[in-house]
Amino acid sequence: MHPGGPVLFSGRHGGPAENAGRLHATACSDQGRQSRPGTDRFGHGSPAPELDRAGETGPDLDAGHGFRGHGGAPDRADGAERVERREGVIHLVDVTLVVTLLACAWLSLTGRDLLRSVVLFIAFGLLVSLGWARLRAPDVALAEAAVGSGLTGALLLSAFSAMERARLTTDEVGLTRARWLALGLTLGLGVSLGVVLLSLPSDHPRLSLHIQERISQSGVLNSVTAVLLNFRSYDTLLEMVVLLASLVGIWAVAPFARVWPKAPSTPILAALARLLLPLMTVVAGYLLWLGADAPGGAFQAGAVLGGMGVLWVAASLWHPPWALRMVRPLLVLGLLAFLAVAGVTMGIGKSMLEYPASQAKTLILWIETAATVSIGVTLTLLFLGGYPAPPEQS
Amino acid sequence: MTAVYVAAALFLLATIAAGLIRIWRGPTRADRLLSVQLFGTAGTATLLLLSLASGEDAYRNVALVFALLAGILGVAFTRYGRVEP
Repeated sequence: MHPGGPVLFSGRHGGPAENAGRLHATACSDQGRQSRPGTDRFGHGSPAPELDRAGETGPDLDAGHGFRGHGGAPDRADGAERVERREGVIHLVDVTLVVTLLACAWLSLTGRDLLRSVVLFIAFGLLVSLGWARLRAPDVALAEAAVGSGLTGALLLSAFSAMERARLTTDEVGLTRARWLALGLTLGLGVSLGVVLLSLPSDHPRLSLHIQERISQSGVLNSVTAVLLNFRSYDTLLEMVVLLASLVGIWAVAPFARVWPKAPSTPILAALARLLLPLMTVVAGYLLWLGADAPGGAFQAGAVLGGMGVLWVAASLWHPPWALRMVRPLLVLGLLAFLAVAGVTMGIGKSMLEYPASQAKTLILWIETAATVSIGVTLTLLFLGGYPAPPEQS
Repeated sequence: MTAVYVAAALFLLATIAAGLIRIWRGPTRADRLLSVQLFGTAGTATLLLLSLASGEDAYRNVALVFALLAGILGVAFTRYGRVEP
């Protein structure tokens, strides 16, 4: 086992090995309370013997990086050999992933062809998402797949198309000079992150311990949602403000966007949209609901809604006259829900966004629902660029 | 069985690496579009395999989002990634 393994790969569940058994036990007892049969988060096999083993063996917890055996306990020697082989293959997967990732990043940065770089960046996003999945951070993997690759990719492609239409080159839009600024910022961020990571005390009781202690009061079972929507909900409140501010900034500088061209798009695109839009609505709702006790939640669901928005804009299917009037109310819906809850909690003598324990789940769900809609609309409008202009009257 | 899943995931990653060459060399935009679509499909399959291998159900949801957003990317590519006449 390499020493970095357990810390990295225990991710949000864990921490130092001696705590792992306890943590998993806590998580599992939480799981017992979920009324969701068949969604065993910690392996298909019987979880109990594995827990015991994890407790005993300590640092070996992550042998094969969490690829614990399935089913009963195999013969000792045979099992060890199998674990070794599996570990070898999974290391190969990781190495391939990392090498491909780095190749993608390098080629995307150094290439001269702009479209090629955009495509490589999209591929990079997909691979990063796979990487997060391998690091056992499905929350981040979800967000990266939706926002980092899907929406950013669509955004870059539409920017590319706008540049091409205007027959601009990167030099003319000042990208060459901005490159050095970007390099400086990235280096600064990378170095400071590295310094912080290396200076972390390795035996410190991790944050997830505190979260697990209090998660029963949070109203949800997923620790990420508990942090985002309860323990540090004001952070999320401010993130909603940041999203809105970025959109207002774009509206301030960009020209009006013509939303719906008069001619409908190709029949294939229209058919695809008719197929995908309902499906994506269901998936967004599913992710939103899932957020309470598994990776998912408002941002992921909102990102899927944003993807729907991209499809809607690209396919230019419908142009209901009320859609434009709905834009602004929907944009601020999430923020308003947050502020309303903040006001009420302060009104009843608690501190801001300190939910009463009995109402916590309901409040979180309402805030998340409103936030999902707002995030989806915001991402769609970010993709659109300018303020949506009404379709031309003719 | 787990080893088989992981080996299959490795193979899919290798196809992604091969697709990278196609993106780099092109020569047409359609080649690049198809490579991205391949990445979406292979990525979805890899996540499903890893989910089976590790027993973590959460990856299936990531795979779901992967599949949907790869479709959106295809749409964005055909709509915006081509030269306007």
